[in-house]
Amino acid sequence: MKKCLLILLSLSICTTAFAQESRDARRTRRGQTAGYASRDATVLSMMGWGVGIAVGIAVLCALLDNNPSSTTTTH
Amino acid sequence: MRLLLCLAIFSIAYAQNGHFTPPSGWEVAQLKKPTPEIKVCYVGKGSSDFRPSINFATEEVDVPLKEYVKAVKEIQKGDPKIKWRDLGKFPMKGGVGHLIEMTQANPRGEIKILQAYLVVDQMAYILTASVAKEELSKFQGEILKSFASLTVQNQIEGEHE
Repeated sequence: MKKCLLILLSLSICTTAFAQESRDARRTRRGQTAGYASRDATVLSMMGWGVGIAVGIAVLCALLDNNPSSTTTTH
Repeated sequence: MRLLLCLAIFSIAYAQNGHFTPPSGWEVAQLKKPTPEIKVCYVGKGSSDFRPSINFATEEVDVPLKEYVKAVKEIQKGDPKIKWRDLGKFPMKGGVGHLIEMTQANPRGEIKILQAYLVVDQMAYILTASVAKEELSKFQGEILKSFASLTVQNQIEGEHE
């Protein structure tokens, strides 16, 4: 019982301290989360562009490799 | 005793969450290095490679909604590539929030960002959607419907009682 109480007390002290630290940290960065959210939303949407470019380059390489005019013959 | 500890930790972690319904058919996605404040992201299927996305974030605040919007505006307006448009009050399931629209210039075309804020019990709940400008009319309806579905955790608990 004593152990249980000690653990709960330690937990409540830790969470209170952490919450206070979080509040203090965030007080200086008010509104910054919205900025991060905008940035992450844009980056996530742009991932399709990166995949598209990679696929485009792969297709181009495949086409160049298969192009018969690009092959050289030696005698 | 272990069960009590787990329950205590779980209740502390879950207390800050809100809930919203993403647009139908959108998939859960995550960046390799996500920002810690962002809780969940979804991506939809657009007609171009720029897929529409929506994410949900929370931030502890000690100011009302009006002041929070002002603070966000100050930060966002500092970027010359972003045009900010205030769309005013926005009703959500969890309360009356605020909606803004940003236009971001990009070499491959302009990007529209819709962002909704709700402040309840010293917590700001932020929903952000990103969509290519030419597809805004196609996705705007379902994005706004998704924003309006935002509910705050203690209100969800109240409904279940």
